[in-house]
Amino acid sequence: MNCIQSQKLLAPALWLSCAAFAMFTSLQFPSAKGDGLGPGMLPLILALLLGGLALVDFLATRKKENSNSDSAEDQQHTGATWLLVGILILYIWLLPWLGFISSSALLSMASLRIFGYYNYVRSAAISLSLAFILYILFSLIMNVALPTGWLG
Amino acid sequence: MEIFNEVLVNGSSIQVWVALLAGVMAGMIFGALPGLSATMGVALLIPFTFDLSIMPALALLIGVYCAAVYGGSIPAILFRTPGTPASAATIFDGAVLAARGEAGKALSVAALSALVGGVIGTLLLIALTPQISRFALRFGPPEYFALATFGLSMIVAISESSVRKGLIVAVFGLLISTVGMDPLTGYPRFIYGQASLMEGMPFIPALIGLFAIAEVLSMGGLKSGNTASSESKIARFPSGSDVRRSTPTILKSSFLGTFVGATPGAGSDIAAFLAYSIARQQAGKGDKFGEGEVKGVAAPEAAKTAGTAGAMIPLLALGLPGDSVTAVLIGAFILHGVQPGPLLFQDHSGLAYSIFATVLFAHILVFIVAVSGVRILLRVNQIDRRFLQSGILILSLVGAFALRNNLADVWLALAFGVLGYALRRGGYPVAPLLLALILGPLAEENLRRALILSGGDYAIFIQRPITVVLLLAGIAALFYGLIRRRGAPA
Repeated sequence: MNCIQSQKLLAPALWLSCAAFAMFTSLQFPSAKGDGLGPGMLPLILALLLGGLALVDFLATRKKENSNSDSAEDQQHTGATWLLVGILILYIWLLPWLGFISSSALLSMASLRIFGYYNYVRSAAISLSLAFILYILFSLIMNVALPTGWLG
Repeated sequence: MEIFNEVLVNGSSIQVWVALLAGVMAGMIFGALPGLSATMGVALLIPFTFDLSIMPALALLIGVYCAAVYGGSIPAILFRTPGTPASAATIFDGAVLAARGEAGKALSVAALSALVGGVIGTLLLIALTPQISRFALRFGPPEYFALATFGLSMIVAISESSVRKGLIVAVFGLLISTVGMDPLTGYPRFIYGQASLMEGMPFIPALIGLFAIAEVLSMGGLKSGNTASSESKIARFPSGSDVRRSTPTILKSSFLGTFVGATPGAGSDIAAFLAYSIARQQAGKGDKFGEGEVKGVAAPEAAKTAGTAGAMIPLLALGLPGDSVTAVLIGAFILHGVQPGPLLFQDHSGLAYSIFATVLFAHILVFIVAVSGVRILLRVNQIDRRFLQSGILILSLVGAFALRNNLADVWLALAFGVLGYALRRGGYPVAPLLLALILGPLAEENLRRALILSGGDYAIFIQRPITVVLLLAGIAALFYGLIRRRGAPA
């Protein structure tokens, strides 16, 4: 089994893991009293159904030929996307400490760089303006208590 | 009389008109920019409605919906790039017309067809919704369970991926919808100490993640700059004979679009393609479809806008979304304390009729903005896409935060964004997940109530005719989906 085939089997494997986890957890819920279903019955049925469908998906994926592999451009795209996800995680983590305006401006600059925008001066100006406009809109007009942090 | 008064009060509110106009303009931009969709537009603008009362909030979102579906045709005609999937069918003839210097004709036929489609669709919406809703008042827990099952089956059957993948995503969505307090016993399920999950999986962060963040992540690595060049010949109008020739097509497509749009799961995309293919099959001697035929623009345009009104029929009458945008709209209704469905006409009939009026005026405003603002929309199309992507990312996260001033919702939005991206990459449809999140609690609560009513006897689901019809229709839809895939070329 080559690398591409393994990647394709990852999705059914993840569905199977989700189903197993949900099944295990719902078995811990209290059982039904009287008529009808208890709190765990529907999640259990759904987990079993998901497990069954994941197995069918697994078998169907195995049967299929390795028709198309990801191009170098696709792989670069995927890499950039996961880098963006990493930056988003960092952004949410830093938000309470740095505050909305500064962390949003940093996120915007970083994302523009990932999207291939290399004019750093313009990027900084646009990012700061964007963060400031959103701050005014949400915090001052809509009264949302955005995190202020150390830098605002 | 009371209803009329309420409609009049809502109609005379300046806030409603400003919200509607703002929605239409924002929707045009979302539609005209390839990569941004009506669903994304509605999802992103929901946080802006938190402080609004229900009518201006709905006017804003309905304006976005109606305008975005039309707006997609502008880049489809001028640049061969559909702004929304529903506009793809317009390319076949619209882009050919534009290429031979008749872009103005194509755009004005599109705007006129969209207006007629929207108005006919709304009139059918007004005529049919209260009747369906009155019928649905007879529904008890078994019927509601069957209705939710039917809605999910339809969206799985019609989704573009395989039925197997659609089913997996729908079941996974149903599983996620069980997060939170058990509806009957109050027992907390899958919350792991997170108090913010007690009331169930928050819907707004989920939809922002699935439709806004996931969309940007999908485009993430594409180093896209400006996409469009301006087109000069945009101010020519169709001749009288063109309008006369297209009128029957527009009328037929409008009726077709309304009924296709009203089918849960089908939506405007399918309506547009179906209308185009039917118009092509019924082509007369002088019709040259694929070579810049005016009817080829009129048919999909009328059908897709009629489809937006059609999609509101199951939403308002049954609480069942007709497409992914109306699924997002349900979130907005619930956010403002109104549950769409049969009780809407019983408890808030004035609001229901105000919504009808809003849909009608939204289509009229779309036409006015479309005719007068094409040049501005062309300029918008020249904005560097990278700035938009970056702005959408921050707006999505701050929108998720604004719901409850809770950072946990931002984490959830990101998690759903990554999930949505991964599903797209794996070829799994996203819409069934969203619909399962909406219909899951409805299905579970009514399944369990039905079983309590019957003393635990499952035969209750085959003893009531409406339940049997809905369940059989759901099964038939899944079989149809399977057969359709088998018949499709590989």
